[in-house]
Amino acid sequence: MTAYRDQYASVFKGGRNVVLIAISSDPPDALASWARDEDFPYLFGSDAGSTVYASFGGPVRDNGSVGGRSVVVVDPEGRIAEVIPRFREVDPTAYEELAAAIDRVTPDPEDVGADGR
Amino acid sequence: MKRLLVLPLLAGALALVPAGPAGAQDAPELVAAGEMAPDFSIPGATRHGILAEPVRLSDYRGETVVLAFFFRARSRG
Repeated sequence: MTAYRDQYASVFKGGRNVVLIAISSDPPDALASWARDEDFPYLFGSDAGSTVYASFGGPVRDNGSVGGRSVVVVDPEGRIAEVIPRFREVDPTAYEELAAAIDRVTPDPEDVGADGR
Repeated sequence: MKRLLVLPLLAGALALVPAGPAGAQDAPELVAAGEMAPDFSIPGATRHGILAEPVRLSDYRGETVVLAFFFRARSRG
């Protein structure tokens, strides 16, 4: 998750037209305290029993936790644009692929030139 | 003679070894690109605290949403 924070401005466009939601089966208070301690700038979702992950086809561990470090990109129309079943968080090339997928479906923010026009 | 005994024993030992990696190591088969993402509504949180309203995927229509599933807070996963 710290890598997502470090890549937030670039890969996730600083949250402009892109919403990053990090989801695990941890309770909300555990996520909130972790986000505060690490100053994560993005949203967290508490997926008790990993039912959301299961609805996306993901496996659930015996203890009810998410069974894979997966990333799903949803386009502005609500359609799945990209699925990365095993996101390699420590691999720099993984972020290039993710950024490309996000760029493909994200509307460009209004382009303002250096002269303000 | 010894070689004739070793080969069947070796074959028997190999038969006990799992044919491939454990199921948990296989890439999960998630939903396919092009499908509508299933909507959800779950409790949310940020660095500012627990959110008063749930996080609902459909609330973010018009924006790109990246769902990053992970194993557990405060771990590498």
